[in-house]
Amino acid sequence: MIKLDNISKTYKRSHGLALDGISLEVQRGEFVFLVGTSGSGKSSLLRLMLREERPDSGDVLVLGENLQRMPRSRVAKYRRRLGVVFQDFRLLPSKTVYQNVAFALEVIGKSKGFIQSAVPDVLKLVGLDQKTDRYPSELSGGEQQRVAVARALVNRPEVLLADEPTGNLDPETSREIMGLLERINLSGTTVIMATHDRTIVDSMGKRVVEISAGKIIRDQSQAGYRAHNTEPIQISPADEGSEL
Amino acid sequence: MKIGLILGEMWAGLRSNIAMALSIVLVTFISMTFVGVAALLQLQINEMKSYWFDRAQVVVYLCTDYSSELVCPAGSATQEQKDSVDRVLRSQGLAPYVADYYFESHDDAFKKFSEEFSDSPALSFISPEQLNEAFWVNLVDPERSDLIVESFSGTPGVEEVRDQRGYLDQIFAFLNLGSLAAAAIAAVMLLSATLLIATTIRLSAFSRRKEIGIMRLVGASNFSIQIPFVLEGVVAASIGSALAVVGNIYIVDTLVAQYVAPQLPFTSFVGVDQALSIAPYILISGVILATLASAVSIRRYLKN
Repeated sequence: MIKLDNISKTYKRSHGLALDGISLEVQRGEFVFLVGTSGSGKSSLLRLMLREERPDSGDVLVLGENLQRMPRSRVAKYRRRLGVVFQDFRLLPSKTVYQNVAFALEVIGKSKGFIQSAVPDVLKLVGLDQKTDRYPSELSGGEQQRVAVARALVNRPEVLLADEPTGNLDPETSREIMGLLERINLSGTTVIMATHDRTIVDSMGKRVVEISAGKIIRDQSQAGYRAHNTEPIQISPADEGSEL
Repeated sequence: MKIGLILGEMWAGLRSNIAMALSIVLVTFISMTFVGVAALLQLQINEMKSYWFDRAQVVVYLCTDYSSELVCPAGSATQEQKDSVDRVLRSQGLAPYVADYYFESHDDAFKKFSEEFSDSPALSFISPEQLNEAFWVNLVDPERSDLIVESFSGTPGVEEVRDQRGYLDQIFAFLNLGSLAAAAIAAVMLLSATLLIATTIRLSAFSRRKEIGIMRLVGASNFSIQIPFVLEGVVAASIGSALAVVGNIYIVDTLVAQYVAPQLPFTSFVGVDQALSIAPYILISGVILATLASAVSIRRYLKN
């Protein structure tokens, strides 16, 4: 599904390697946390998978495509197969919830019929089917992030990349969003999420890849990681209002 | 991306940036008006050339008793010398180039002079003998006046050979200068129009960087991201060019036809027909200019 092979990258401004010989493989349907302090390189990895950037050396293989060799003209089509969520939501303030989600389909030329059926579906999935006509400014942070998740999912991506999606949210709301991401993952979408929120990582019991100074210093699946974890936080089923 | 969405994005860009859009309209209006004026002046020159050059004559002035001794040492031209000029004009060498010619006597010249300067006090000091006798020659091809000049310069009894086109050339040089000046202003204005369009499009893209960022993330093609911005520049520049066409029509129809033409009778001027004939070029070059400027600008912006 995703394979990074000995990736290295240097940024002009920083000293030393931002990514230093990273190799990582993610299977279809996995849920992977990328953890590490800010500047450790986890966001860089996500940008490489989005092909916003290219490594200086090494190969990035995602969804059967070699991003290193992908011509510029194919990038747009490739990105349609991914969903992305950010810490700052990146919603358009002048558009309603519905319009924000529909926009993602409109700009890739989807038909009106497809949009009219897909957008309400995905808004129901994230639990915002009652707030389709609200503007982002009228929503709470958690609701705004749900809109962003809906927008990322509306084109049914195979992979969801999330860069600190709970970074701006309080713990309660963060848990809601994590519950949502988990359900999305259970439906078959591969999720890769960068975060530095230990509580969330501990509570989920998923694979954790820790990066420090551009290197992978730990790659643990749930079992090994949970041993250190005394009190795992469970997602309460009550938070999950809609079925998947 | 659907046409409606592209147009919607374009319209949003124009509206959110109305002052800059207006400045594109104005600067293209002015620059394209000058382009049009330069073109119209060239058309005017051509029109006048074809009108006047056909009518321009070559005049062979004969010596009088009052002519300078340097060119006419023997004083007034003799009948023999006049006959010789007449023979040369009929000769095989020149006849094919001469459409027709006539001889103007002292009296003819005086009559013409009296008519032209009827109000002038000079009339009372002038006698017919002081005015040159002359052969007025119409050429088949006015361009070949050099033949007449060469044939008669230095001929005894001939004071001067004058090609009337010499006078016209001065007028045309003047008009040409006007045309060049208009073209130079147009060039500077076009440059500023180009730079202004480029800047405006960058500004517009910057003010919608959030939309652009999202469009890129969800996989909108570069073409569909860029085209609303290019259209923004094209629409504004098209309005400016259309205004320039209206401006050119106003110039020929009102300024030239009503104010300049009455001052200069016997001269044909460019009219609405010519202004309309250059209109498509003005519109098309406005659109091409805007397309190139905004396309280059938005591409460079998106690369960063």
